[in-house]
Amino acid sequence: MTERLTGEESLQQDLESLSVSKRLVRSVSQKLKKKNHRSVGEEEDDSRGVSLRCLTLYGRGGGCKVGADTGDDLGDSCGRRRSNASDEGKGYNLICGNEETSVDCFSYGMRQKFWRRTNKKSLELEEALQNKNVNVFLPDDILEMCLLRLPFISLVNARLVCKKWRNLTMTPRFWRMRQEGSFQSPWLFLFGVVKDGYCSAELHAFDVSFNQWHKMNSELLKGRFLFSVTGIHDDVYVVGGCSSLANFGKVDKSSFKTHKSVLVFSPLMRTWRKAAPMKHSRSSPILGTSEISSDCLVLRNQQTRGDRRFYRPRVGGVSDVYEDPHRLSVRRQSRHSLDENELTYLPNVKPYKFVKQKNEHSSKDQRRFLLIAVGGLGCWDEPLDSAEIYDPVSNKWTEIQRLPVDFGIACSGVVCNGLFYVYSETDKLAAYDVEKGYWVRIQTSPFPTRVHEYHPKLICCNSRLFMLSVSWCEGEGQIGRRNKAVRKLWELDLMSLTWREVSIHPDAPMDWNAAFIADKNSIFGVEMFKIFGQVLDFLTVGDVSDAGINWSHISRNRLAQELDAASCLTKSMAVLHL
Amino acid sequence: MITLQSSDKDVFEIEQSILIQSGTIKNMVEDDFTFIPLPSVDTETLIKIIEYMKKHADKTDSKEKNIKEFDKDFMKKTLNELFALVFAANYLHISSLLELLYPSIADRIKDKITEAIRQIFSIRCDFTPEEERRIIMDNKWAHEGTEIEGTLD
Repeated sequence: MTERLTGEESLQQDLESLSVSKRLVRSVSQKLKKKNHRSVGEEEDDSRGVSLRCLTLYGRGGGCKVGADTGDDLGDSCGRRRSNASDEGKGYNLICGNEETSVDCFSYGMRQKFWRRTNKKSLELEEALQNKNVNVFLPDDILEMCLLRLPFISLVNARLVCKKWRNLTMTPRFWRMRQEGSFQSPWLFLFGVVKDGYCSAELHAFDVSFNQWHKMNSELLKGRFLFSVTGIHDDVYVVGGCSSLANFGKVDKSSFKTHKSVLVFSPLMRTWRKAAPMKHSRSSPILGTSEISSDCLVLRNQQTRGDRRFYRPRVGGVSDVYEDPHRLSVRRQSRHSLDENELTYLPNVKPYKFVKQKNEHSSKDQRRFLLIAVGGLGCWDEPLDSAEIYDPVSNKWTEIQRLPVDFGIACSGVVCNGLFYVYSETDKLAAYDVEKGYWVRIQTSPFPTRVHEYHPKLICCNSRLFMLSVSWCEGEGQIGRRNKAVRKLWELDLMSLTWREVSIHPDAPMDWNAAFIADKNSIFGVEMFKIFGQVLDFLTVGDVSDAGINWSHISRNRLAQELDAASCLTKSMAVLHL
Repeated sequence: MITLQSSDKDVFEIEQSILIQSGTIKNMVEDDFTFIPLPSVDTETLIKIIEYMKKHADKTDSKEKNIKEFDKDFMKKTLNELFALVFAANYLHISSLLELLYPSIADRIKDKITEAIRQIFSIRCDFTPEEERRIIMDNKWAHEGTEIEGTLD
């Protein structure tokens, strides 16, 4: 009995130090109340609404369950239900109470929320037992240093602790320090999900640090599909897309309108705003974000300026320079040099307003990005070869040189080292030099034949250019046997312009519109496809800093169950650091 | 050799070369102090700090892996101990130890719900229920991370 009593005491402390949300605990108690017929001797802890005697906690050794104890006596054995026994759940070890469970109140997902890193958890529980309260006062500056390193979701919880904590964590300065110290982790934003035939207003965010999906609603996106998304600073830009005119809200291209508008979503503020619309309506444009130095001036030169443009031929390749009627050049200029004299020397130049703004503008970030939109489909679903560039500071789109002639339809693009590489459906590669303002055709070593329906995806990781492409793999040498298709990761050596196979993705390429996105050293991939009447989703990540680039699955079937197969076609992904 | 005195009046004699990892001590040594009282650091914490500095004093390449292992184990302390350490390391200006402690402390509290954090830090909530509700609503999507997972499998 003594063992039992200490069990309860420690139980109380354990509960306090667990990350049990009140809502969950209440729902547990409700379930328990229904199941639990024994009322004799049971004390309710009213503040938590849970009968402490009922909960038996398991620590250590992997997955844990909070189970209901329906027996008062020691040795009362109810059948223990080990449903959802995952590979984690080996060797449960009772740390308090010693009853069997009869109810598994939580699904797998809940379990993960409780016991994320179980070894750490058991250690914490032990320490919680030893010293519940802190008797050292932490000064604010130390507290701030610790809070800076919290992942976003934990920070959101921290704001609820008290007013001081909220004020500490909500200043722009705090955010800046988080960014500069690289304490943020990537969040993947998945757009374009279709539910019950409708372009739902849902968007799903995946928190890489906690391996959790979160759902958000965005009424503004309802009905829009086939738009492209990209992340800049803390915002996601939603560019272009279509809306059905016949059946509003549905993915229906029988009669549709194509958008020029650009919507900007801030997950932090939960707000949407409109950015300036593009010059051309586009659906599924190829987007790229190029970082430029903050003292760059985006100028629009007149054709009559007649300055010769010299180009540097690519090593081992042929480059073409095309006359650009809307010559756009990005020139480096320090603030000080832009004085009146400079302006009169270039009489036709209209510098953008941002030069002045830059002084007032409390740059929350030293980094500046330009957004490039190329290609896509126009109002009549015709493939476009036009291109334009957007400066968030001036909120203006400017047309830039069109894609090279005979390039074909652009199917993927990414910025790498100041060049916006674009790949076409006819396997051509071109790059737009953002600073110099022209396209360059890039001739690479011949690329192995690929499965035609799968458009390759270009990715840039740490100044390295990669491509994910699906090709046929030799089918174990058996003649007549259908060859297997595999998705391979290739890297382009930027000096010799040769492609080198780097890794093979472990999953069979079931999704021809798989979304891949890079963040620092990782490549995230989301694949969604319908099989056996069900829509499944897989989230994988590959680390390019390894020599062999191992891929791992980080989430399976976490959100596609409710979604339509059309989501495979319409989905798009962006990454932000929060 | 430098003598350190903890708040509990215990004295420790340590080599100067080890102690200069502490910016505070380094400054005092440069001002020719050989006896340094540390009224804000208790004995228990001071022992740990000295242990840390001793391990980190010899930074040859071959020892780097050992040092990393040591650091990992060093952080396996109770939250109370970590708080005492971070307070002392802050006072003593030992930046490498601080860089180790900040993320460790953050890791300990990152999985905790608000109420648990309040208990740990002995903070009284000064929000009205209305204010609290409003803050939660503002970031509803972040608070409801479990919704999707809960319905699967």
